[in-house]
Amino acid sequence: MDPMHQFEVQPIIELPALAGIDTSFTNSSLWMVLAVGLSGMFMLMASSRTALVPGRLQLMGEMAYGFVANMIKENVGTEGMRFFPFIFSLFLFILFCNMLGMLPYSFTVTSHLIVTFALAAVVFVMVTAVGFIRHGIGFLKLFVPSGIPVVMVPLLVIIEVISYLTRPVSLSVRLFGNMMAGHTMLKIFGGFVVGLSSAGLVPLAIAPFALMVALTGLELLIAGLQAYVFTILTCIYLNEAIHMDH
Amino acid sequence: MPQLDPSTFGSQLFWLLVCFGALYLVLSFIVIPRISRTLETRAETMESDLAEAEKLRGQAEAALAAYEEALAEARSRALVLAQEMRAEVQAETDRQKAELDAQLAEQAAGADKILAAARDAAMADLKTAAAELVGDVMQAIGTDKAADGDVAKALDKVAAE
Repeated sequence: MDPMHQFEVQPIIELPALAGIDTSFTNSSLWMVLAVGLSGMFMLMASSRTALVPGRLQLMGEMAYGFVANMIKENVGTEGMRFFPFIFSLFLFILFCNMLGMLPYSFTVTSHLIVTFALAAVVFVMVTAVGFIRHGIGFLKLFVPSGIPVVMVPLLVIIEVISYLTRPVSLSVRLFGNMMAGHTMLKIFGGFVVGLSSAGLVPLAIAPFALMVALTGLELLIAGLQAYVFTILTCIYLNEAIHMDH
Repeated sequence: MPQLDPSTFGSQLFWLLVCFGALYLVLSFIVIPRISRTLETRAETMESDLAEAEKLRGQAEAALAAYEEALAEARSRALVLAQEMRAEVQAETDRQKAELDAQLAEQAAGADKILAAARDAAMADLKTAAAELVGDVMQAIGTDKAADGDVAKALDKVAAE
């Protein structure tokens, strides 16, 4: 009953290494494929009908589209719409991975730091590139806060640079930490329920069971919320790189 | 902690790239163009429908204005016609009244003439009768028959008094 057992990556099909990288199809790969397959199918089916008055599925697809599109318009502005496909993919991918992770016996792709860090690194590289492409070397002014005494400038620049560089870490650890902690907690309470019941102490198992039900609801909320948080932080970083105002 | 086992990183990163890349391609080349076209078409249709409704409303308003104008014109024409009619009738009435007045005046004048003739005749008759009566009275009282001229003269004198 190791609560960390659920996070183990186990190969399903061993595949030969490609350019020195292991490409084995694992349980993590399976759930990534499922998340992408489900979200992709959902959006494809939702967008296959182009009725003037949408049906249920079409409306759901359009709402998901509108949700992310409005998020970008409000936080970045219309210039940000160039990054809409990427941000929309990010949102759907994280949302579906988190939600599928709530299924019993499933694997939570986003509970692995390497995955969330890779996503955050892509965001970081993209945002930094956008900043330098739009503002050239002037993008470095982002690290010099305006309206402070000259003596303080070196210290604050160091702080600003560190805070900028730790963004991918905070972005990835936030998602990974939320997912891992939630699932570990569920597993621990699940372990209590099973352990107490098998020891013949069923009445004592009621409390952890009730707590587990409540935590499952909370985890569902967190699964949605963290997808939203990751996406909106991406928008905020992008806005800073495009408009350089903070 | 399985998350810190670097031997799984390669596979996870590889499949993340494959899966996320596939999702990105599907969304950016199929789903997003479709949905944005649908939303655009919807916005355009609504806009054109609203414009059409606005146009039709304008037409209805123009028709109403034309109707009211025609009504006002008809009303003023009716007023003019009524006035003309009234004036015509008045003129006709006046004319007929004048004609009647003239006729009546003529008849009255004729009657006056007849009356005057009758009165003259009556006066003449009265004179003659009076002269006869005077002659008879003088004959009866035995005076000489006065000359007719004298009697008539005396009678005229009396009548003048």
